[in-house]
Amino acid sequence: MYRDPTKRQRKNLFYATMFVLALFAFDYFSGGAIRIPVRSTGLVLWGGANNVFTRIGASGFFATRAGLTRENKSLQERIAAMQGELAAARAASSRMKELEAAAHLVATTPGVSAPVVSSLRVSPYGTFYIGAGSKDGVQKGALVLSAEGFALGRIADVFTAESLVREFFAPGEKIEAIVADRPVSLSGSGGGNAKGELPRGASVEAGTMIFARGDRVHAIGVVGHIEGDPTSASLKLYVRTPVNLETISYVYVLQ
Amino acid sequence: MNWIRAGIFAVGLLGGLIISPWIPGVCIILLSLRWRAFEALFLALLMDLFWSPVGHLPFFTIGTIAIVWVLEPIRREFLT
Repeated sequence: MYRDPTKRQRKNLFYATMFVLALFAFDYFSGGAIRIPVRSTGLVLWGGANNVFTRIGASGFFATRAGLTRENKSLQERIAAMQGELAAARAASSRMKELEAAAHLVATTPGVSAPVVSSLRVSPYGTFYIGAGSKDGVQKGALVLSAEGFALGRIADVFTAESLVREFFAPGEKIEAIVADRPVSLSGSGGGNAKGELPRGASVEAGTMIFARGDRVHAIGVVGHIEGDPTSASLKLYVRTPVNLETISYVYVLQ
Repeated sequence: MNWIRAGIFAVGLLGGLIISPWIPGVCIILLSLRWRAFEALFLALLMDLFWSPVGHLPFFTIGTIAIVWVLEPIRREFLT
């Protein structure tokens, strides 16, 4: 008997769709039972790949490839080795500075410092992982600060040894903020950027610090650019996170 | 053909963890354009489970279900 393969494939796709929806529903109602193994496996994969890329970068292979064809091979290898050592020393020094700053925060506010264990720019939801969880006393909703004391986001999910942080300026995220003593509603666009509108006449300039409502201690952003034509009743604010998200390797979680 | 599907799935998965969310997006579209690919659905689900907070709308999964079924008439017309 002839069976139409198209019909069978379509039926399989329908079952797969139902299965995926059922998995997501189960995860939602069980409070994240399925995502726990997915996250630990994903973080192991990310850690491994990150190690490989870091080693390739530190080896200077791509930086000296063109030069190797022109210059003496042994001399180039020596230069590459020295560059690798220099890059490693710089990275260690930068990490040390971040830890020193975090140590200063520890002395003034109770909390826990944690390493960033995933990429800060890959997530479509403006999230990233840190290597501290419920066993370290991290709680859902806790404020996450950079080593310099700027607020980056809040803890969205807590697991045993790691936590998921959602950035204030995640794509689509709305946040009520204060800029130059005026309330403003900011809408996140991802990558540490946000937009908002202020009434004309507000004394705001590029570089003005922005705070979340209810917390005047930790700035969440800084005004990067102001736009508005003279006939308009409002000013358009372009806001960014004061720290470069891609270079952060440690954060501080308030308790 | 199966190894191409598996390869695109692997690239999407690794790209979505390490490089950029655009990579799994492109892989999902590639898979859905050519095949009735259940891998596209699982790729989207894995992205959502890994990156989204619990309780957040799974945009990747919803978008992929839409793409997979919206492209079905095109696949039926040109690939069968």
